[in-house]
Amino acid sequence: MAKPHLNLVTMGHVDHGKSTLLGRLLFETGVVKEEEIKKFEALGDKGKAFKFAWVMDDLKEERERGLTIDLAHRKFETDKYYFTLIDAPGHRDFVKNMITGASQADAGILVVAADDGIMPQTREHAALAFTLGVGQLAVAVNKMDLVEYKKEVYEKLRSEIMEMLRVVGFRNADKFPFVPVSAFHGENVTKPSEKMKWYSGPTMLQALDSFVIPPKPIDKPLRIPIQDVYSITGVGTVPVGRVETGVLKVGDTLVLEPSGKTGEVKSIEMHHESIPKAEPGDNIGFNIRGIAKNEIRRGDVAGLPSSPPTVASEFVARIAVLQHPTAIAVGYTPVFHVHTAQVACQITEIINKLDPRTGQVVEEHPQFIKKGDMATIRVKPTKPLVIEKVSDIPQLARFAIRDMGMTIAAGVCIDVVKAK
Amino acid sequence: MGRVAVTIRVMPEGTEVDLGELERRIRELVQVGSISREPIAFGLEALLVVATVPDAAGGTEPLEKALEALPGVGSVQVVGITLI
Repeated sequence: MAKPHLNLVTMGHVDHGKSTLLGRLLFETGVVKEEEIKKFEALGDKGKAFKFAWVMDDLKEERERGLTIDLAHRKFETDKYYFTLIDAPGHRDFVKNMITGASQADAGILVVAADDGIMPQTREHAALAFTLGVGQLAVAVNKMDLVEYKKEVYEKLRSEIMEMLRVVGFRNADKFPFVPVSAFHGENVTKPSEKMKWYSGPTMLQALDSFVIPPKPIDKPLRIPIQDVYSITGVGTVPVGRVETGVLKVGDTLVLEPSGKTGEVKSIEMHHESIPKAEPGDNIGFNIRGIAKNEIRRGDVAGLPSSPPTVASEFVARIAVLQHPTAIAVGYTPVFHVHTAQVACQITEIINKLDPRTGQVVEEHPQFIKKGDMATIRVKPTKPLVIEKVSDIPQLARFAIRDMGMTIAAGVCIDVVKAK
Repeated sequence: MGRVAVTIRVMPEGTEVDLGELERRIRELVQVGSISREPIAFGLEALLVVATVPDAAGGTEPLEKALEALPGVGSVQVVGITLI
C-alpha cells in the first residue's frame, strides 16, 4: 500500500541551520548520495564545515540550470510517510504566498539554534505557522554541539520555546516533540546521539513519524473561492477553484457571494475526469447552470444556500505588522489578500496593541502601530468581501495586507459584521 | 539569502488559447526552470511554471504581474514556494 503523503514546512531563523538539517535528513535517508557529500569534504575545512548546507546549494544550482527543477530532491520517505519539503523563505514578502497559496503544509519543523535562542524571526515563523493552520510542529533545538551538548541549555530553551508557541496560539505546544540535535554532526537526526545520553526522546526522523494526517474539513460549510471563470463551448459556465471546506456534490444548488447569484451544479471535473463530489484540497472546475460567466468573478466564494459565505460590511482582525516604512494609523487603506480576493480595506479603528512576547494588551487605542507590533484592528472593506471568522472557518479567515509592493502584515479575522 | 522556487499556475483565458504559443512567450519573458501542463476540467489546461527568484528581492509580485500581462493569460496563482 502506498504511504500517505505529508507536506512539511521548515521554519526558523535564517542562521539557525535549517539547510544543514534538511541536507542531513536527505543524506541520511538516502536521497542525497555519499559522493555528493565527499565532494565537499575534499574542499578542505571550509568544505567540511558547510558540507550539508552545500548539498542544498548544489541541488539549487542544478535546478537553476533547469535539470531537476521538478523539485524531486525535496521529497524523502520515512517508515510511515512520504514527505515533501517546503522551506519557508526568509523574506517577509513571501508571507502573502504562504497565506494565499494553494499548497497547504500539514506539519512543520521549527529550527532554533541552542547557542542563539529565540530570535524575532523564530517567533514570526511560529506565528505564521499558526496563522496558516499548521496544527502540528516538531521543534529541533539545533547546534547542540556549540553548547557542549548540555542538558540544562536544552531544557531551558525548550521551556522558553514552549511558552512562545503557546503565546502565538498553539495550545497543544506541550504535545509537540522537541529534539536536541546537531545537524552538522548528525546527532539525533536519524540516529540516537551518544553525546546526549540524558535525552531519551525520539530522533528528528522519529519525531516526523509522530505526525498525523490532518483530517479534511469536510464537516464545515462548503466554501470554494473562485480562481477563474470560463464559458466553455458545449458545456456552459465553468468556475474553477479549490474546495477549502465542505463537500460539493453534483446536483447541489450553489450561491455565489458577494453577488448572491445562485445556480445548479450539473457536473464536476478534476484533472479532466468527471467526479460525483469534490472535497477539501480538490482543484476543480464545475459546470453551473443559471449563472452567466460575467456574473461570477475571481474572489467570489461559492457555498450552499443553507450556510452561505459571509459577506462582511466590517470585521475585526488580529494582525502582526511585518514591515512598514513608517507607521499605520486609522484611515490607512491597503489591499487585503483574502483567499482569491484582493480588496482595498480601510482600517477604521486600532482597538489595541499587544506584546508579541506575551500576547498581553499593552495599549488601548494606540495612535499608530509599526513594524514588529501585534494589534487588534477594525476594518471596513471598500467593496463587498467574503471573509469568515477564524473560529468558524479558519481556511477563509487568514489574510495578507499589501501596500507599496510589500507585504505589510499578516492576520486573521476574529469577528465579522455581516452585510446581509 | 538563497533563492526561492516559485510554482505558478497560469490559467489561459479560454480553451481556445494556444498553450504552445503561450509557453513560448513565457520562456521569452522569464527564465523558467520548467513548464508543465496541468489538466483542470472540461478540456481546460493550465501551465505550471516553475521559476526562481532571489529570496532577498522579496516576493513574487513582479513575476505574477509580468505573466498576467501576457496575451492569452486569464489569471495566475502562486501555488507553491520553497527555498532551494
